[in-house]
Amino acid sequence: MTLWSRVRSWLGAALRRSRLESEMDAELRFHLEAHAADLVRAGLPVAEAARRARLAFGTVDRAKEECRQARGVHLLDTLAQDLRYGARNLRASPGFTAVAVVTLALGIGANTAIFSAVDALLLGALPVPDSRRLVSSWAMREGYDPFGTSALELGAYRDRNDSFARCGVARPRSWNLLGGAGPERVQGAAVQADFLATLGVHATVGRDITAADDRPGGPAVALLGHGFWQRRFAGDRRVLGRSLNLDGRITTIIGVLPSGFDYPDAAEIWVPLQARLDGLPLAAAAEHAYVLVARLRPDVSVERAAARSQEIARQLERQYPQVQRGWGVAVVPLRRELLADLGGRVERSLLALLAAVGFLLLLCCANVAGLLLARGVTRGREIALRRALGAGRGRIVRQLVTESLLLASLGGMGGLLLARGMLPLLQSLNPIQALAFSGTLANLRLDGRALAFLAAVTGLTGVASGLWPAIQEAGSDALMAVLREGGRRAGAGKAGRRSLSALVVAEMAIAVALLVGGALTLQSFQRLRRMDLGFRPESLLTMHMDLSPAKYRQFPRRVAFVERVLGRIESLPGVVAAGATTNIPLSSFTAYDAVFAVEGVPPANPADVPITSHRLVSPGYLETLGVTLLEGRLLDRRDHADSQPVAVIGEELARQGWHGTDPIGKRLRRVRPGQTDPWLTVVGVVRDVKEDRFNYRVARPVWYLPYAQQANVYPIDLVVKASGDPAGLARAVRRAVLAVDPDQPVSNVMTMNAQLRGVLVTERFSAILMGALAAIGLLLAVIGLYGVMAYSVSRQTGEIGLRVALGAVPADIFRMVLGKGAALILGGLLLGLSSAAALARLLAGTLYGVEANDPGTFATISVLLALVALAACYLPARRAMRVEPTVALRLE
Amino acid sequence: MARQLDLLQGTLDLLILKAVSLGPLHGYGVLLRIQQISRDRLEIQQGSLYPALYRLEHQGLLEGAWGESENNRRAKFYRLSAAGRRRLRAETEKWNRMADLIAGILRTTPEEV
Repeated sequence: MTLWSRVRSWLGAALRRSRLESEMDAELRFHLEAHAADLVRAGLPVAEAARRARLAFGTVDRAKEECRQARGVHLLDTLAQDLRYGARNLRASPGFTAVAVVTLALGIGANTAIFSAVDALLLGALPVPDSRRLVSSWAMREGYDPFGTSALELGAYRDRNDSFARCGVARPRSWNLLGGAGPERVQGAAVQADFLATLGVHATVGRDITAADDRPGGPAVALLGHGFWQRRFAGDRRVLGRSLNLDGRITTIIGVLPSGFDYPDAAEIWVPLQARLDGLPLAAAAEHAYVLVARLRPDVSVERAAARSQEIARQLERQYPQVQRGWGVAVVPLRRELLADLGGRVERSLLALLAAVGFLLLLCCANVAGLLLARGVTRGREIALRRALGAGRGRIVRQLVTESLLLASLGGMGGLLLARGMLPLLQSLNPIQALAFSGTLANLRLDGRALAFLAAVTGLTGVASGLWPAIQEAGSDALMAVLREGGRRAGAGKAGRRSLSALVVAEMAIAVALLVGGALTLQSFQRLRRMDLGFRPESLLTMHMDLSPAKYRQFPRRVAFVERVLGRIESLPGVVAAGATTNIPLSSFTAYDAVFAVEGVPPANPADVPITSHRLVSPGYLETLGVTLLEGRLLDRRDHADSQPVAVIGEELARQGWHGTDPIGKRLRRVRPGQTDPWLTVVGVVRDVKEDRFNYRVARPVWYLPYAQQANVYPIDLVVKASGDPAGLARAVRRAVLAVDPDQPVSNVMTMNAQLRGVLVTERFSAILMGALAAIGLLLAVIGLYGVMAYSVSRQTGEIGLRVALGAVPADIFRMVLGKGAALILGGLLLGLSSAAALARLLAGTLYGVEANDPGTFATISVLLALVALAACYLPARRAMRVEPTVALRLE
Repeated sequence: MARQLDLLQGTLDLLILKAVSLGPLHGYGVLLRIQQISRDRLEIQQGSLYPALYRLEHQGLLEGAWGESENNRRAKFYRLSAAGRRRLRAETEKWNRMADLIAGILRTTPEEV
């Protein structure tokens, strides 16, 4: 049944009811008037006749009520009645209502906001058809190091993995776009015709890239991204056939892709790959350069496809040990790749967050249930009276649950406002730095799904917080006892008190879980933030440059360009030092990693040697970065193209290569299949620098080679150390580059600190939220505990008075109350440690530097919570101690 | 005026069905008809007449429809449905059997025991 037809049927029932009601009125009125008319005909005066007719008829309202019953009682009628009654009750106790509504709004709002975030990141639809069936495949070194797919692997998976309906590769590229207002760096990809077809993306204007385009020597054509088309051509459809100057190659525009599509890596331009990937020489075929996407067959799971690829990878290992040994494969849903979450860490932390906020909601429900129970005790008399007058147990439960649903609805409305307020905050925490589809992934909003979630949570909350108290209240068997006692003591029976105690225990248990979860996440984040980076990120400005391959074909021209640019930058006012590298530490661009061999050690299979972070750097780069020199020297101007080839290595590489002996003066070299690299002499050892953004948790060997000594075509990153605010230098540095080459674009200009913040976004997001949830949870639990203790003391005033009258000293009373509180707290803590362990298990894979079952954290949280909780019992206990027996007994 | 009798429990429905079986009637008409055929010897609680009518209608024994009354006013007229007619026959038979039985019992003399 659709929503609309539901509404219509409900409206229909409501209309029918009101029609029946007015018909009944008319019918009874007719009766009275007809009778009166007869009486008038019999000679009575009109007024007297009407009176007699009414008298003869009896109570009209009672007849109506009986008629309604005869017609069948409508659930909606009682619902309306219950709602009216409930609303009256809530209005009658505004304090209670306000506290309950605010508590529920907090729980519901927080859940809705976090749901929206998780939904956008993990569930929401991507702007490609049937995105759930798309997977991305990565070559994995040693199980944790993701690399692009090689042509060799592509061929094998394409031909042998029967789980793939279709697959295709792209090679991320970027170009210097010349012409127009100054040179611009544009991101894009060279794609196989199958790549876009696999994704199911087609040109909205113009035509797709076809197999005819995608062959060696094919035409220079390009597809534009929607955003680029709007920005550069103002969405003009006559753009087809016009051309772009990409790195000097005149390229014809053949189409525009749909809005929101920018895969891979925030691409704006797609050109045909035009490479023959089959039958390449082995070394070239083994280059891990491609982004592979595949569409699964309809009946195949990701796990199945992954297992199949894994098998094929093992076959390749046996077939080509010289290039494939140590290489596995990971096949993950496309979304995971977009979140840079091959290991599922982001997913786990988001799920943990969802679990934590769910715990918070339980806590809110428990608090409101506590309030309802405490209130139920004072309402016992009213309910007993209604039962005595014939209201069934079910009817009373229904009425009370309606009341709590009403409360929950008010809470839901508050929650909606709260969620709307929270979303911009969550958005500003920017949980994911998605390279592609950021329009979908980073766009948190309250959509229909979030509203449906809110409605469901609201309903559940209403029932969860109201049902138990309602059953408790309606079920009070000692009806007559309640009525006889008549006073406020009514209902403070054992059952009610036990319910309250159970609630306190549950609240403490939930609070323990939330606090442990929060503490673990915060500790992990702190450790990550204080992780030794091996360099000093303060006052560094970084930027990226891709040199045009046409212009800088000869390597010495590149070296000269870099030297001149650095010279100009260093002479700028406010610049302390400047350097160039092939990759700044922890950047999100692909790192160029290499394996190494040590002189005198029999050459190992390249596949068996660990991957290193290998950087080609200018003289002065290491000083600019602020690395710590442990031994020997850093690279400087002595290390030019014609001098002895050298390297500066990190501690981990020294350890792996020379096992504790002094590496200075020893030699090592790069190992590449089909190629012999020259030996490099180690001239210095530095403290390890965290270079790899995606595996910064791994101790990875790093080595730095003089740029001038290693001919390469890699893009260049500049690092500039400022004497003041580095961001202020951006414009001057850009001008310095343009002064050397007016066609050279500079991109990704940002401070090193901003760059680093991007690395830990997800960790920061989950740390802040888990911390906040823990704090709110603690507050709620303490308020709940205090409320229950204060309440039970006030209920026990008489008993306490009696005890004092019989000779108990204040200290006894104090001990009694505190003892009861302590018992509840202890019970809650014990129960809580197991729920905390469950949440911690969910966090396990996401933590750094702290174990999920860290005994210190568990113990500290338990003690802290116990102390805070005891403090919450202290005030009620003191009040109990001061009970005057005479006053207390008079109350009875 | 003859003495009025209180209505026996459960017989109101039967009387209504009978009254309506003689021709469609509105609620007040049902009241008048019963009083007329009982020659005013039965007192009907007017307040309980309508719940009974609604109950019978709800059970599908009566069909209600709005029409014009004798003095041109809108009134709801009840007529017997097919089910109502069957029920009336069954109830009448049951009633007569019961009445015979009770009457027979009440006529019993000590000699017959």
